[in-house]
Amino acid sequence: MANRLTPSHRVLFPAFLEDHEVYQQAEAYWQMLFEALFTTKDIPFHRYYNTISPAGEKDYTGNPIFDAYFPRQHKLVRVIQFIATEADQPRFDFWEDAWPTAELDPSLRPIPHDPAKSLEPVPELVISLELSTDTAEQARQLLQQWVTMGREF
Amino acid sequence: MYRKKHRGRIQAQGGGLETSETWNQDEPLTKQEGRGLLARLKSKLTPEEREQRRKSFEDAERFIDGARGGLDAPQRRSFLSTQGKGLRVDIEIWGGTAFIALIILILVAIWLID
Repeated sequence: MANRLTPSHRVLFPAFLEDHEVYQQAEAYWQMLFEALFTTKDIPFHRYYNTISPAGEKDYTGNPIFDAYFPRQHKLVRVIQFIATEADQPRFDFWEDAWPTAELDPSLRPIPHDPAKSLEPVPELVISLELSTDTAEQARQLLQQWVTMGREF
Repeated sequence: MYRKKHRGRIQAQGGGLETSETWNQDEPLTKQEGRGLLARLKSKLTPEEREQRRKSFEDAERFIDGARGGLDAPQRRSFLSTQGKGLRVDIEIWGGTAFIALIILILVAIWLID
């Protein structure tokens, strides 16, 4: 295992990579955050990427810890959570990308509300962070702006 | 190109770079083949681009090695540079299965022949 810095007191779920129970708590945190941000505003979403191995083993790497497909907006969000291993490592990063829907088997394609978009690449916001009270707030604002307000960065 | 069952892409991205290696084949991609694609991708980068993504390539290789029983589509993993700024290596599994151990592929082939 790579050397890890001692997580600061502000880091949330600092043992999530070592303890599966803590990992599930961190995953539940993201589920609740997304529900608070979107379900309450009647913006449906569901998990999309496969994080279970063919042998039925769940992935506990945090890459991604959570993802969501928004069929009305035809957008994806992927959240990667890590514990920093270097002192000068950025604790928060994000970028926009696209998921190439047309390359997928039809049964694996996300299904948008608007059928005309079904073969269009899905815009994706990826947030990579060491989860803390500060970065959680940054993620919350970014998610709101990108999904709800349709803002591009 | 004719679309085969097992497909995907490994990309080096961020900082204006977008270079990739893809696979499109009838059999699941083995770990060995995955490592080969990763090495080929690395060889396409300049020394600076490689150095910026040193940890990304290490993490991606560790991920391929650690995949137990392979991984089924749809999957996307990003291995970020410690410099941040979106510098990364992405692995995308578009169809079928990737990163199975060669021995499993051989055993399945023997089982299908019998």
